Amino acid sequence: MQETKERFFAFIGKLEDKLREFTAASIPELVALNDTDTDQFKRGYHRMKSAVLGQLDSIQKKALDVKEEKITCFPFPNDDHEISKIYHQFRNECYDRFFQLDELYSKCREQVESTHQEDFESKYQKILDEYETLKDKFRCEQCGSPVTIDKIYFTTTYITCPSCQTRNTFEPSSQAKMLEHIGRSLAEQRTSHLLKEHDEIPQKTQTLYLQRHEIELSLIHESDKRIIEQKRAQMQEMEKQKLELESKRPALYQTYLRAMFDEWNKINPALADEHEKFYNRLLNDYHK
Amino acid sequence: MSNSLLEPVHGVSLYDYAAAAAKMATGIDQKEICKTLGIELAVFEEASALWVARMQEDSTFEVSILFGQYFGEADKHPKLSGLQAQVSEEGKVNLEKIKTDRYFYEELNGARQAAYDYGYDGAQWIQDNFGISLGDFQSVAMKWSEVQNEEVRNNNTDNVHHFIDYQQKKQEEYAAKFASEQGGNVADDVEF
Amino acid sequence: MEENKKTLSLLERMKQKAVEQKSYGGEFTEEPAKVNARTCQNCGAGRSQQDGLTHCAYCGFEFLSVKLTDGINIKKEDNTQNI
Repeated sequence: MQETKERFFAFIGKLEDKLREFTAASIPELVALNDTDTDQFKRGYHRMKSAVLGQLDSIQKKALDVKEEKITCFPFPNDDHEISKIYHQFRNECYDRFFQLDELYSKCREQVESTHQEDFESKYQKILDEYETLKDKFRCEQCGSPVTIDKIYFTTTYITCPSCQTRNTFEPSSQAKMLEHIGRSLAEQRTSHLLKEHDEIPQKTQTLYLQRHEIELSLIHESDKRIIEQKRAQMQEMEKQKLELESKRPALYQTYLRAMFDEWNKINPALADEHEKFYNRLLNDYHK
Repeated sequence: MSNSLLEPVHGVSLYDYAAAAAKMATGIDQKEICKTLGIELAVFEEASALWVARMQEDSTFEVSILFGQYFGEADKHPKLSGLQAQVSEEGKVNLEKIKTDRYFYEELNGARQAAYDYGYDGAQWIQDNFGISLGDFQSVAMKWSEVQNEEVRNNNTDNVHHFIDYQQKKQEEYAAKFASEQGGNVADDVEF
Repeated sequence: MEENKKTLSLLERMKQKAVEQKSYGGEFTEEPAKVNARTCQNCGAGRSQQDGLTHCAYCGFEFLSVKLTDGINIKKEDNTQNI
């Protein structure tokens, strides 16, 4: 077992080196490709990223397969209590070592993923700029009078000529047709700090719980009454903070959701009624 | 019709919308679809945006589930079934086969995933090698997922696992093939 | 050193493959905004505001074979009356 463990640790170490080395080498390549890929959806970049992630997967899988074969299925006499104990010790150590690799693998994946962040602000800005240049550009197909595009449309629509009353069909550009979609992503991006505040609460309450627990333990050997009282007060305060945080949590979610939908409505007011129904649904789902 | 979210939008039913989406994914032009449905682009685009909004509003997921079902039944749609994309002879045979042979479907599913993991556009890879378009592939996938859901409901998990394992095995086979084509994986030289 | 070279050449091959492949659906072309107007293919009349969108006010030709409901910009009132 000792020998297997040593070999396993060395093997995992080598795979970790590969993970680090390959991630470090691919990131500049991905960043460069992301900058130079002229495709609207950066499909070349995405294919390359997918291949890089595939390689990281192959390393993790190699570790997993060997863990299964050499550690989980390590042959030992089952009836011997002593050996069984040693085996479990050995297995746990090897599993822990594998989890270290697994954590590194997750970090590497995150680094690779973060080489691309969609820039919704600039996509939205392009739609706004385009609108400024086209709103007074069109003429009625029937009589030639100017036809004003009165707002940003994201679906094809009919616009009436003020002179001859003809219904002209206005078809927005492909980028303007993405307004509803970009609007949501952009609104989420702009309000992500509020969601983060909500999402962080469980971790904060957990920390408070652990701190309180530690004080509680320290009380066991404490005999000084003054200190005991002090510590008890401290614990009470922590408990209060924890409860406050927990009760604040639903309100924080609602604050986020309201802000997100307000942003979305500002970007695409045409669907404000529909957004409102979606908002109510998400809020109801949250309270379920 | 009890759910008011299922009422047509501008006369465009959920079935029209889902079948249109499926047909567009096989490469049929949007204009052709509008013409067949007897509507203009303005009507179609509003209906599409509002169908998406209905799905978002619907906490029961009934609209989304039906969308999936209708997407898979595009070839039975009274108006749109006649619109067929150009498919090669080989593609026709393969399409028929993934519809009827679950093993073959799971194999291509695994192959497609392996293709993505090795930097191929999986949809294009299936099109190039088996002549099946993304839309047709997705339609068939919807049908098999219904079969699988049915099995889960009937507690036939053995069968579900059997096909998941089969897909996994096939994915590994294709991955090994793609790996050797690119000159191996990055950690091939690390041995236990 | 040897290791590093191997990694780089693998990455180089991966990049080449990613870039040179054909994308599903082909090249995406950004379409600009445009305006046009449909006239009746039966009698040549245009469509004006008061006539509604679904039928030709002059010969009854059907532009749209659906009944419009209240949508985003298109409303019930856009159904042609008097046909």
